[in-house]
Amino acid sequence: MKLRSFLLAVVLLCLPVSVQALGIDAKMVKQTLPNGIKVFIYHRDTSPTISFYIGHKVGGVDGELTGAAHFLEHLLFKGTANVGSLDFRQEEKILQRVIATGDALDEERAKGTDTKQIAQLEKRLTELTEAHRQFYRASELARIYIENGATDFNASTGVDFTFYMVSLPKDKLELWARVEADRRKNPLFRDFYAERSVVAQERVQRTESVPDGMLMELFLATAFTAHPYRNPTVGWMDDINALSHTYMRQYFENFYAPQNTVIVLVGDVNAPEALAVITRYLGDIPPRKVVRKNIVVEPLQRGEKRAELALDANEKLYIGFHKPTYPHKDNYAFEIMENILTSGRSSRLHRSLIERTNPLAQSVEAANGLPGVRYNNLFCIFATPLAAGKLENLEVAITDELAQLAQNGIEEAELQKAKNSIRFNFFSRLETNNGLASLLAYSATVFGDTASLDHYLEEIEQVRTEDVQRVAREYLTKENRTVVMIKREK
Amino acid sequence: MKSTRIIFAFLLLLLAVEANAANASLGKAPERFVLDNGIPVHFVANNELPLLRVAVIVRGGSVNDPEGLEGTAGLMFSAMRLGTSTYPVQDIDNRLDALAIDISITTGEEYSIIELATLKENVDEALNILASVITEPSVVTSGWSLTNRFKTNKGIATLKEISKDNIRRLKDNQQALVIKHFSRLMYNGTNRQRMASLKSIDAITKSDLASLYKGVVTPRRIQIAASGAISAAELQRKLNGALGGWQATGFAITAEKMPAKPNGAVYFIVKDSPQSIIVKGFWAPRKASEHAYDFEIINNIIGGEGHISRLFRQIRTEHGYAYATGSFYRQGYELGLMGVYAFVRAENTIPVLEMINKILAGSREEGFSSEEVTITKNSIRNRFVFTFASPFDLAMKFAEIEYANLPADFYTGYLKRIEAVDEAKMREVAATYISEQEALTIIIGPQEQLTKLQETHGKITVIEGNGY
Repeated sequence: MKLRSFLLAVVLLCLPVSVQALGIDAKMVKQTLPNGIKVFIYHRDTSPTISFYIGHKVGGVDGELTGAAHFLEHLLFKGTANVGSLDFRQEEKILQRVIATGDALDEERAKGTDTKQIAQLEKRLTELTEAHRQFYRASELARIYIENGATDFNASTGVDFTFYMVSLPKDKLELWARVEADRRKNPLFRDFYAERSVVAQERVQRTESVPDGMLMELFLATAFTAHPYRNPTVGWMDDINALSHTYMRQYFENFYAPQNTVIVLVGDVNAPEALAVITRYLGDIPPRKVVRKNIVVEPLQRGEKRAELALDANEKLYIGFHKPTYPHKDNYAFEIMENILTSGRSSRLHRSLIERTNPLAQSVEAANGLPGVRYNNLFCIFATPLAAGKLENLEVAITDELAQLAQNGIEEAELQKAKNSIRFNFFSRLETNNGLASLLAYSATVFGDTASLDHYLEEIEQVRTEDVQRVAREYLTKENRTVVMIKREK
Repeated sequence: MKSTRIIFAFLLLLLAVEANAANASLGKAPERFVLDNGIPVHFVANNELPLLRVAVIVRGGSVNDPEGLEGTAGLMFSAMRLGTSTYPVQDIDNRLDALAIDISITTGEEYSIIELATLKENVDEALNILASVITEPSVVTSGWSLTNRFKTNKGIATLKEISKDNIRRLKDNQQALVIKHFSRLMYNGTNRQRMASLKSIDAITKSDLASLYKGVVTPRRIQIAASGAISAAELQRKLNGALGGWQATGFAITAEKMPAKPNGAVYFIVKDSPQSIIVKGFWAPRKASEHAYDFEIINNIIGGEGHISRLFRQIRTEHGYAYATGSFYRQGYELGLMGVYAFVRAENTIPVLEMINKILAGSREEGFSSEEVTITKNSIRNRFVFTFASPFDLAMKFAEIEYANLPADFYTGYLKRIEAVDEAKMREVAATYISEQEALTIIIGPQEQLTKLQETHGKITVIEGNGY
């Protein structure tokens, strides 16, 4: 996902928005299956389609090795013992040999001493992989969905969650339930080592060859000292290469437990029928205990942190401040602040940095709640200077604007404008089945229930001008600030 | 395989080829009405959310940029949002933001879209502001200057600076850079070939913007698509009140000049990066062509259908060479275009290029299996209902039929035409369009890959600098 889209998605998803005003929550059917899977179904008949989301509360923060949640998401597209296999008894035997050889190769590579042995194992793994391919049809799971008219067939992993989504014609409900149940009961990690290379290339494509990607990685690693929000969801390259089949299998068994799973359906769906189908196919997955490692609390920041990236690239500036996460009341003041600073051409930073006689920036964007909301997070400002050499001036101008906010507060009219804007953005997000489903799935996965959506607009309505000023004074301090930038290599 | 698994797999197979009952459902066609000045409107009522969405589609874009003044259309359309005779610059920003009315403008190659989204309660004022942006933008009606910052609107001077800064920043974005040059080279010899440059942006004056505005922003070059919580009669009355009395004549609508066909050339942009991006393109059938249906299936099998396409399966699934690989088919109204792409680690540039060439040669020479064709037809048929998944989508599709002068049954007869495609005809169409001699290949990657390619693939044209 591009940075801008990523930020927009995160910002929208971070809104624990209210649906109560529209009566959506009242129309929603909710049920927890005996094995712990939580199901949320919302009927609307704007088109004869259904958007399906399955969420697991596992993301970049979970596990010992970085990148595991994301790699697992890739592996769940590789079919099952039922889907793809041409002769499972034979396939299973050769797959075991592929795994054993791959694990041995990983161990030798980690030692790095016996190059002859490494070469032999590489050759053996290639041969076995080729032999394995005779026993299955690749991409069969995707074929089933695509042939049945799937759109938005994808998955995504964030720091807090993993989602599997697909939209299908409404008569494909049972097909979806069969496929997804099988995916969680009998997954096979076929093409394991080729897919690990794909993930490594994904890291190169999205981070290592993109200045914005590199800067974001530096930003989070600088802002967070101990908390795993400092790690990239795609993983550090060394960790990606160390993700073994055994580790991934354990990771799957632990985090994809039914109690760690939510299902959301939005569209032209009959709720009682859908519940019966979901119960029939997914209700018999045995519950199992989810073990989570201790997530370190980020220590209080006691002084400004700064870092630079020297690149042959144009300059950029990212600024962040630590702050509490939902359901802390200050979050709503930050929502308003974000809007007042950069939403629309009349916003404060747009006017002071762009709409001026000598513009300092070509773009500026504030974002509340990065990189996730399960734990305390950051309020961020991302700015792109209009011309080289103006980075320092840009930083000073942003700092001055934030200081003014803390010192003088905001006008009542600005507050009302921000509330209108948030309300409009919220409604816009609900227009499509997929948009509403993603919002509901986020809330249900991360917070455990869509009830957390209930009072968002009401909470926003209750924010007063003095709340925004207090929050600015308390959190937008130099001691609490992280500043990173791309400085052009000479 | 256990018997239960055989049964399960069989059931899945049955489900996979089951006809979709929803496939013929387009829903209710939009209501069409015409404003007093001749602007056609396609509208779908939707009362679920308190919103109104209006798209004003203007037949004008970067193809209308005068020579040497590339970037004029982008600047002109953006500048329309910067203030009007009735709503001067600060007023329009304050008013739109205060009421949470969104007016965004996207400039395309042949058409641009001015899109309004508003809460129902602000519909009257939102439509008045939209009409004012369209009919009396300050960039045309005021005494703004583009050259003297102190006599100008600050926003418009900044727009020029931002346009130039975006051009400078292209070098940081491998993907944007390679696609920009790909389009430029594919449209060789036409207006679409020309790219905005620092020099062309500098040369644009206020009168250039005004001339282009007067040429393309006129009632006869506009279509409107809308959906939302309002009745058709009420919307017609309100739009007529805001926009129906506006009269203007502009450029005649003429056919575009066709580009020269690619000739098999290979281009390279040197970029110090751990990644290479390979893009290979061909001319393809335009949207109204009888071959468009064959070609849609061809493209989907080669790379357009994600996980199950030939490119994805071989380059990504089997070899792990790429995260992103596939193909796209742009069904232009005048000319179609197919592009095949792969983002790869630099050291895999040549093996992947050869793999792409082999896949294309196989498609051209051996055609497609009946299984591939059946799967793709099923996919298109079952997915068709999503073409109209939202009321706004439905309104836009019907506006498009009128805009592009497509047959009235373009969508209602679409699946029938897809169903009529056969393997023999597809093979002919593939052989016609996917020709190595009429292809264009462009790669962006590090110098060492260029050197290797020059050793193995002969003549490579190097695009120096960033080409602007």
